[in-house]
Amino acid sequence: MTTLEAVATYLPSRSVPIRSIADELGLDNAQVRVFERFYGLSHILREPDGTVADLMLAAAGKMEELRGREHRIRYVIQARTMPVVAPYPVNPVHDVRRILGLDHAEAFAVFHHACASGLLAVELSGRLLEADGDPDALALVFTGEKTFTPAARTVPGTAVNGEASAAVLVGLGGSRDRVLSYATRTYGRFNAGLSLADAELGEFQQIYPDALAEVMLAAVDRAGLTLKDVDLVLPHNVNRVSWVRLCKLIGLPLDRVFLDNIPVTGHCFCADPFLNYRSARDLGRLNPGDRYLMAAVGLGATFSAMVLEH
Amino acid sequence: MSNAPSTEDLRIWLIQRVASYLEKDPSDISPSVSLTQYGLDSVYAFVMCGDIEDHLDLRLEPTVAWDYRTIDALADHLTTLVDRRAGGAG
Repeated sequence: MTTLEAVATYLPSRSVPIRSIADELGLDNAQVRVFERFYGLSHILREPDGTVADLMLAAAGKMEELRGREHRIRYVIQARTMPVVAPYPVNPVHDVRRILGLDHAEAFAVFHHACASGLLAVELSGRLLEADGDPDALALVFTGEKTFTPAARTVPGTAVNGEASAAVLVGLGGSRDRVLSYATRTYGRFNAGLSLADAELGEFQQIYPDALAEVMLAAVDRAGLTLKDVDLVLPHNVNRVSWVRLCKLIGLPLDRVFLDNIPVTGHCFCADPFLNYRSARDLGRLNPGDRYLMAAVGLGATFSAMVLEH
Repeated sequence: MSNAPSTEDLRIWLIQRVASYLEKDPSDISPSVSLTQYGLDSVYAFVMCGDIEDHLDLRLEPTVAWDYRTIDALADHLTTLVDRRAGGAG
């Protein structure tokens, strides 16, 4: 069974009020007010001088569980939203593999599910490790990106993106944070992502809560559970109101969704559920035996949910 | 006698606000047509919520823009909220 052996996160120290970068984000005063009042967005984090490789290395540097186990790493996977993050021939995930002394591991990136690619990478890691048949082998998944272009800084009308990263050590034999199920569905008709025409964008916004509810409930069902058995939801941090709407739809108490990071980090691409995992643990919101659900949505459009047991 | 706006007052005010967001003439806005059909995007649906809060000096549930999709439905809901507040204030 796939397990999360460790999750380490890196939060840059520079906190930026979204109001102070409204021009950069193309937001007028009324829109900023909406983001603050209704979306629960307030600040984002940025690492002004660091590259995406620096973000990955910073998260890996905080992962004590990696020390002495480097030889067991079989895969290094960068799960990212952006198809292109560096000019050829620079390859951040190869650079990170080399700097961490993991040249024996295979390194590649997945971005096919956009911001839901982090959950895809965990699932894929489990499949690859299982197929390899070595019970001691591990995969190291990286999430978190730079807001290096205007398109990377915001999901228009929905979220403000920030820079933070998470490293996730995936194995097969751990006793904690066992993956119980995974559900995902891609709606290819929204493949234009940020370039959707108004009518399609309206349709995407219309189906969003139902589509997310569908995969969440499917994952819960595949885990042999009901929604009442889920102690905590670790969401993506696009905004608060979308979770209020979702909770209302499926009858989930809002206090079971970990929303604390939305005003602090903003939406950090594929890293959100893992940033929230770390924060929830640090705050004592996850106890041994708790079942929790990670949820993410990627433009394009992919809806994903994963149920785990702590 | 109450100074609270009537449902009709609110309907007219909402039509004017929506027309302003969409840069249309108020006469082009039907209170019974879904706001999404006019192309009012989600951010401006929330801008409208913020304007309502200022206009009526009350706090709205953040999902109100999705729960009440036409100006008629919204005006009825707001009337209920305003009446409830007036009743609560005694």
